[in-house]
Amino acid sequence: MFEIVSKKILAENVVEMTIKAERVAKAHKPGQFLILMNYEHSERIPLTIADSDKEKGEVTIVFLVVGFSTNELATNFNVGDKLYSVVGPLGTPTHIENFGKVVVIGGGLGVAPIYPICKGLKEAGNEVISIVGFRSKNLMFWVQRIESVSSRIIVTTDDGSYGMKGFVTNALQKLYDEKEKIDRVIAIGPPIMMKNVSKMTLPWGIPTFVSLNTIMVDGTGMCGGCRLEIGGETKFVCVDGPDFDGHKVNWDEMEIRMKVYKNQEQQILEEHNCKIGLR
Amino acid sequence: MDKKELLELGVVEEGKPKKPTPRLPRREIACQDPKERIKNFNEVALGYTLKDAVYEAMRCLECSKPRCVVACPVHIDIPSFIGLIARGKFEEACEDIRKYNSLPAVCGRVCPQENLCEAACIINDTNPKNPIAIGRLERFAADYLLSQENGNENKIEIRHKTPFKVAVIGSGPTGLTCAAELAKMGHTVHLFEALHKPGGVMMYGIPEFRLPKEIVQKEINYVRSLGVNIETNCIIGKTIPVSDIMNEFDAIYIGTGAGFPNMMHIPGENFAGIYSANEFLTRVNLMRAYEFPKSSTPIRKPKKGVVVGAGFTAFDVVRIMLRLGADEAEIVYRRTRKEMPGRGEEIEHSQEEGAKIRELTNPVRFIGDENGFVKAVEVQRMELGEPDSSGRRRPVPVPDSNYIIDTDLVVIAIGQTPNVLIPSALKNLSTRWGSVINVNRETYMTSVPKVFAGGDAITGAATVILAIRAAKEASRGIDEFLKDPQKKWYPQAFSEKK
Amino acid sequence: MELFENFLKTNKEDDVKREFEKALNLEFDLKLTLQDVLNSISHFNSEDNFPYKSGIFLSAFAFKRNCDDVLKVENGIEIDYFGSFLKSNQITVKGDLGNFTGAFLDGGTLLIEGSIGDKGGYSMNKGKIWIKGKAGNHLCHFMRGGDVLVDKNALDFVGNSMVGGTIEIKGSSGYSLGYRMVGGEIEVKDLSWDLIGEEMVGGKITVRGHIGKELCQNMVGGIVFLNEEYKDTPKGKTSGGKVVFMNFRKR
Repeated sequence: MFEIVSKKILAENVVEMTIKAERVAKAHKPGQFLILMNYEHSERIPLTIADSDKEKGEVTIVFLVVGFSTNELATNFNVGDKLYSVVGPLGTPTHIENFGKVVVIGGGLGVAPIYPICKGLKEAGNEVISIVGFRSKNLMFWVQRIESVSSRIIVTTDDGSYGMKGFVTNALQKLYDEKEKIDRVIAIGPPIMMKNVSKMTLPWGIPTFVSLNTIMVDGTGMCGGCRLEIGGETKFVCVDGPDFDGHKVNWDEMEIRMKVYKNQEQQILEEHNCKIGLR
Repeated sequence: MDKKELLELGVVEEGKPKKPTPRLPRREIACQDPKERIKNFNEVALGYTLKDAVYEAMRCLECSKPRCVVACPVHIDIPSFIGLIARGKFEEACEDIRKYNSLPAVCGRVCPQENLCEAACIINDTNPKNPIAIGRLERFAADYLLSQENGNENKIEIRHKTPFKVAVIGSGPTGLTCAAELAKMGHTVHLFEALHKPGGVMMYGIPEFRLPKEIVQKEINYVRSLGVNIETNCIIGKTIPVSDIMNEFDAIYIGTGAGFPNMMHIPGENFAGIYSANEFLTRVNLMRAYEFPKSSTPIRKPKKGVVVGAGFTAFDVVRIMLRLGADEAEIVYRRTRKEMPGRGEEIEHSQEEGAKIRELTNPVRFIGDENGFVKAVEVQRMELGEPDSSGRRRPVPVPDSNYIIDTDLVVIAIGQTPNVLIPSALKNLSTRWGSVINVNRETYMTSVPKVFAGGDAITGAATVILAIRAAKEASRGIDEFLKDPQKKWYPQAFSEKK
Repeated sequence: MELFENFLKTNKEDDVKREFEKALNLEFDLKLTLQDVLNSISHFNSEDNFPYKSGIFLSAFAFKRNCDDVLKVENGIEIDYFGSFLKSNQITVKGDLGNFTGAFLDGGTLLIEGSIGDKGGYSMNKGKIWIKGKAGNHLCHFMRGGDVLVDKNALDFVGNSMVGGTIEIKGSSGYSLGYRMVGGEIEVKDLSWDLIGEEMVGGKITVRGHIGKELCQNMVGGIVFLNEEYKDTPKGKTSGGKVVFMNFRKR
């Protein structure tokens, strides 16, 4: 079980992987995530499910090589290799119904998980406008795929090498200025992006939902490592989320809690690099 | 082992009566030196040697009305297995325990025997505070068998195979026991575990130095050898919908335990560096963060750690902190040592290792530094007031007594409640306090037909042995239900009017 | 024995009473003794239904024959429901019996020179059961009358929901003594562990020895006599009834 069916390098440090996990694929709904482990003594990595094929029993994940474990996953595992563990789908699925006009924003790696959400929203009869943002042209991926499930797509790049120059927030501002009647905003991406989107829509009074990816261990509500203050209450991202009302999230706390293991991450990477140097 | 070696150990020869020696003091168990052991995660108590075990077994009177048996929650025939040890039949001794309890090596280590079988032992009457070391003998017998080849394999033949299929959710002590008991009755059992390794609290909660994980896996192999099919990485209600399970199986047993951490709900609780006990223990025990960077799960290493609470968990946490290299680690508890729910032996061991206990103190606020990491905790002095309904004296805050303790890592260990995943997935399941499942006390059936529950999921956090007891009784209830699902098997079916 | 073989093959009905009546209609050879009957049917021991059917079969035979008898049960033969519904015979059993021994007993005496399984004396009405060995869980569940004497230990849930009659245990008893008890008397000579008199409504419990925790939780009525050595054991919430600590003279 948990064999890797395909592996693609989408852009620098961004890897797409399709894994055989029948039960996970069968039960998957948009907005849910899974937790995988490389080896027996590896970390448990939470990753949002980017796509699933219920018939073939396969799930697709897209991840950014940031730390030791994702690096290990990207370099040591190829098609045909088996992962030690894949568990999911976890979390509460994104609430999907016919809202009217929905703007779905994906920033950087967040572009992948918005695909099933856009798909689901479109199937529910919504008009989906997607905004995808990248740092530059060479980091772009899945734009066509997102386009196929949305009625309109706006691509932004920070350096202006493709599409609109600027951040996703600029594109959202533009949409608002165009007097588009937006009923709902869904944003997935780096915390800073989700924070800015939420700040922007607050005065407009548009319900805004964000998907949080905090540090987790088990993903079943057991450890409380993912706890966060949402609207004055402590919530567990893994069971109460990962989707939350962006206007209620305590973003400062989110930033702090993401940094807890920065030093250790540095240590393990250094140690790993040392060993490579010795060989 | 040949006869001569056995006789040298002092065992009773076959055919000869045993002369018990209850007046001798009980044999202490060898432990790692405190100075050594805080540098490693190896087991603290080293266990009995053959000679120790025979000496201790010889002290047992093997009385005909054994009090220990009734005080044991699962009613292990204690004099019988001790008798077998005294006669040099070490393997048979463990097989004898396995008739009643499928996890002897675990129970021999973590059971609070001093409040159960050993408290009831009749030797206490004549030789006070020197009861038979039943727990240590149980551990010895189990370790002896597990160290043998094929020791973790089932040797009893399962007589009747039934066509029934049972799903057991959760592979903690209660799930494993229930699965083993049902398998012995001949049912087909599927055991589902959410994490990547079976064992539940024995894997993620109890630390390596108290219960080696290798032992747990050996015990689980024994349960596997009974024909139980263990499926890891499977969350019921997420990976498999509850409706599928309900359709596929004839009965379902929920043994999901108490895995939802209680928090204090005081200001600053979400600062980085403040852990729930569950997260701290899971990282260290299940994910082996103490071997970091060999295993890749990180943990913050404390310099001065603070633990809130004084149960079993709190003592485990404080001992782990010292092993992770903390200069100081202390327990903050709002009552006094007398009221501590932790086990005597654990408290003693943690003291030897240098843990401190701050009594009558309660945190009121956590203080963070500019990066959002915790740097201190503000506490309040307490005093004991009137006894409450549980008989313990209720702590009352002393006004204007706040002061500050510096720290860089706080673990909150003030108890757990059952996880809400299953109760929220199963409609019509009757619960109390939000997540504790209500069951029929005799059959262990919940308000949903053919769904049974046991262990911490029905009581809130308790001990391993009570979870095993619930599992055994529930397995009987499930068996009766499977054989006769139509019958209202309690008590109306038997009512006859006179 | 063909009679038993046919009986064994019949479907298990949902009520023991009806099962017993069905057995009463069989044409027994009343010249045989209980022992002869057991010997002739014991080779069915490996069958699934054997414990249940054999006990009812033997009880029906004894009921019809209505003579005092002695039965020797060899190790490994499981018999449930032995002595159920009996009215007037005195039967001595040498060996161990299974669950529901003496269930619905309506008179007469059962002397068991061995141990019994769970639910002994279930819902018994009259008569006497004397167990020289151990008794399992749920001894005398729903007992309405009669006497039960256990020479050694009894395990959990002794006298659960009992209404009348007396239970005397010369050894110790396990968890939960007299849970939801309404009437009758229980006396334990030695230790009784946790949960004594939980939700008790009436009747009398005496424990002469050591006691465990969680005493008399949610007790409504009745009286509990305990040894004064264990006076400090914390008591649960009660809304009635009486707990008396007294000095039992050492025997």
